[in-house]
Amino acid sequence: MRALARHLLLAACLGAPLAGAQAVDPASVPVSKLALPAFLFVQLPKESPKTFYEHDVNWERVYVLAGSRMVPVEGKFKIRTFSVQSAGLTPEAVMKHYEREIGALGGIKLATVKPGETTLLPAGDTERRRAFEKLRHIGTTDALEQYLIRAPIGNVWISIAVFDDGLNGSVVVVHEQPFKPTVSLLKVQQ
Amino acid sequence: MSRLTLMLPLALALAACKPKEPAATPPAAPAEAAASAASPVAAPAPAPAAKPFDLHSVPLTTAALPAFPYVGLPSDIKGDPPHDKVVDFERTHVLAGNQLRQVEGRISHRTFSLSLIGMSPLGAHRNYETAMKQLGATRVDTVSPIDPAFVQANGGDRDAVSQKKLGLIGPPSEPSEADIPNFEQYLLRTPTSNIWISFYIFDNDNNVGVRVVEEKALQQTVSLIPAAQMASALQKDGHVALYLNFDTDSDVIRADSQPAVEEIATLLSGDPQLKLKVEGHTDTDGDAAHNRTLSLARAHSVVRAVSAKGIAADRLSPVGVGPDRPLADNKTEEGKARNRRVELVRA
Repeated sequence: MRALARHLLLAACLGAPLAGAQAVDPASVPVSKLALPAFLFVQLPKESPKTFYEHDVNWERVYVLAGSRMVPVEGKFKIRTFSVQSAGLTPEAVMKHYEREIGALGGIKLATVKPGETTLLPAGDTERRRAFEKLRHIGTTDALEQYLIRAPIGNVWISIAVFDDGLNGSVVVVHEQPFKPTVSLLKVQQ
Repeated sequence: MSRLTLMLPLALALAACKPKEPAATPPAAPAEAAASAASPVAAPAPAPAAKPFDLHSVPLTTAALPAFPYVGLPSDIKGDPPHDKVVDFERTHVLAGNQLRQVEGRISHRTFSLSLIGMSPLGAHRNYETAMKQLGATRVDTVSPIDPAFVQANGGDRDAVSQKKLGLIGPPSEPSEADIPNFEQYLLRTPTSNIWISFYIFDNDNNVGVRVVEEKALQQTVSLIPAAQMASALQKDGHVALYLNFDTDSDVIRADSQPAVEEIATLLSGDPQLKLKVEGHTDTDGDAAHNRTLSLARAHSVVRAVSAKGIAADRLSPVGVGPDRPLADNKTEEGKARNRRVELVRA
């Protein structure tokens, strides 16, 4: 377990993907002792301050990549999309930006999906699109990196994707939280 | 027009419109996914045999209930929901097992938008599932109202089944995951009523509807007749009309009519030579043949209930008359209520 944790830390520090397509136990990721900023924890690249689509849900099930496995997690969810190419950025620069941001919060990279890479996700257009939809990214996503921050406030899953052939990007954040009912029974009739 | 300008609307549309997909969780591994992509589309399964729903399979609750319509809206909703309607008495259908069931009573129907309150379909489902458990309600649907075989068995028009029969605003969405049903039918049985609660997600997972039907028989116009008065009427006229309440379209005698059953048993105990025909009568609503069958089933039900009180069953002969011998005009609700009766006739 310690060896895996060391490997994960090293992989994150070096910004390198995990070797091969192996499953990862999220519980093996070291808990970060760093204080986290408010949800959604990370900033957009400064060159691309304008968000063109956002969607927030108080509590949702979203799939994340734990190494080679796609697993469901539940909690507060947000997707934010932004410009990449028109902001003068490259996909690599976007990924580096988030790697620095998340790494500074103690996050670990758990998976990397490169354009055309089919080890972690299906190859067929339809199935691949569906997989990205379950990850809550835009259907034509072609590259993705998945991070996990294990924090005292709960697990924070952040994935970054670049889509539209490098034109645009999206960040999906899930802060794992238990379900809290908001519907109550009415008062008993007197 | 720049490429970005062209791509953004597409991206937004893709993000806003959740595509339909077969229920599957967790997502298929690549090999499985490839196999499923290559599989031919399965033909709709044949309609399952319509199996009569047994109301008695759902336990009675004697707990104090909240005020009608029993369950609230999410606390995140500020102001009035977009659709909030109560009708004091109406006929509609609910989904009992794999069958549509006709019921009558007081109806509340409310809807709200998920996106306006940041709620997911899963969150809505969990909320109402939790509330139904707190209420003691039992989930009773065994088929989806948009199941092709079910739709086919009920006329073939999906919208008509959802909207005209079940009274929903629109057909439930296709579930995005197997454990997020987009239609749930709950039943809460009390000694005096059946309460049916439908929860559904519709309009591409954007809206939720909650429909509550509290079954209520129209007030009967004749009160309980004591055994001595029954004996007197049988002596004088040869028959006496009784007003027992049954569940709608069912032979189940409601708890509030048990005193009438007691009085019939008292009548027969007091006159050991007395033999009676027990005639079931209905109003003219609905199919006449169905009403005759129903009235016979109700007559049998009365015979069983009286026999259970120690009266020999061979002293009672059940007869189903249906709508054929009305006492009053079936054009008025009062007349219909008088016609829905059980008559005891000296044999």
